[in-house]
Amino acid sequence: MSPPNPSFPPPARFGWIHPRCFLGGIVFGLGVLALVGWKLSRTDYHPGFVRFHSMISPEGNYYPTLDEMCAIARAKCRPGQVLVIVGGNSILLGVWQRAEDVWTRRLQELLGDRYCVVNFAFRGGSPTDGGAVVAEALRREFPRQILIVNEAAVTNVESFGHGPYRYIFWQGYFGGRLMDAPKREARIREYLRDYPEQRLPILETRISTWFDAALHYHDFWNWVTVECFGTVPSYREQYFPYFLRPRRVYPDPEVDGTDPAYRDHHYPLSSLDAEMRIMRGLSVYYHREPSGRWVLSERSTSDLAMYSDEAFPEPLKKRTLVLICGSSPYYRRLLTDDERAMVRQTYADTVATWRRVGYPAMDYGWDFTAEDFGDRTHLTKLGGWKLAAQVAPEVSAMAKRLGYLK
Amino acid sequence: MRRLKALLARVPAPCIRFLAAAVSFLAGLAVALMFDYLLYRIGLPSKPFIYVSF
Repeated sequence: MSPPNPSFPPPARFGWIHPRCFLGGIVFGLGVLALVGWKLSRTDYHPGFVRFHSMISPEGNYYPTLDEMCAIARAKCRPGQVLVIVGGNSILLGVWQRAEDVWTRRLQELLGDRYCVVNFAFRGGSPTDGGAVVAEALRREFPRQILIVNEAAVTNVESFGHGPYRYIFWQGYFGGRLMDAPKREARIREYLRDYPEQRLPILETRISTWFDAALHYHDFWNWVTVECFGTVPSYREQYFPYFLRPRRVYPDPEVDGTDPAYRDHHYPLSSLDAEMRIMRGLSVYYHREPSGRWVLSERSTSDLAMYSDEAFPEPLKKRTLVLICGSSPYYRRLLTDDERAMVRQTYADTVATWRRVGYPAMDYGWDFTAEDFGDRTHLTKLGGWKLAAQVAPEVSAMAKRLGYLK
Repeated sequence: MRRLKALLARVPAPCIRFLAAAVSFLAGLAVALMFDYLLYRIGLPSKPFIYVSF
């Protein structure tokens, strides 16, 4: 029989735990994770990226980071190509269009190899969300760039993103990746003054951004979520154990709006009232002159001009194409002639305002058919292809004007 | 457990010290991993984003 071992159990105060080794393990572990996270923040782990579909976007409780998006753009865009980033909302994301039919693919085909089109639009996004932040962060790396964004008529745009996508702006802003833009700075200060309850969450975001800049944990765990296993439940998937599936196994769930199976989903009677209220609601910004002409109120005109002017830093305006989205003729035909004239005027005024403050802008959709739309605003692939056909010459003209094709 | 204790009791003292250091280090790594994940989860919004379009 062997004699009892005097070193077992270990005589340390913490039993089996050696405090120095334990702390060393923590420091080493965090260091390795930070290094891996940093490496991943410069790696494109979305091969064949088409767009942020619902399982890899905030809808699915997945929050792509600014670095992750920049890495996608770097992987897709070769040196010498003009980087065309598509931002904006679900319309430009391509809701009702399958990944293989999405309008940005058509735009890429039409523009050709000298351009690289990347779709960074998000559902419910604004012109200054996601894609806009990426484009601004990459302005030095890709000086030959064009940003395409969209907005509804007579809608003011916040210069620092909005809603669930503002975190991307803060990542760029607190990370020192954005331009100095005094008007935007003033707007942020004003926002914090008007909404004091937002000061604490923004401070928390700022601290979180600092920590993340050092430890890169968002990039690391996003990669784990995409490649290895789900680390957060998705609101679009059943709970345990389903959410543990890596996000890469989920196909892009967007359906083809031209498929007859979805015909009843396009213009449901249940949403007719709401849709018509949205269209007619624009009249609150207008008054009608005795001649019958609809005129945008002075206040709305100045607000729209001010917000549009401040939306992007001055040097980036000329490379930002603003699309004002039209509505489906299915609903337009239900308006009176007067109302239709008013709606038409809202688009003309909005485009004119964006142009006046320095952006290339255009509206679309007035010559589209009801089949080109999947609902009031979203386009089917047919509408998407028409949009691409209208946008491509504008992008080429912008590239020429900006001297990108020399 | 008793068998494990008996087995460990037979291990020479220097090995036990090394084993304890290794276990401590691994425990530190595990805590680092959990802390990293905690930071990530804290950084995610607590309110779900549910997209509704009209």
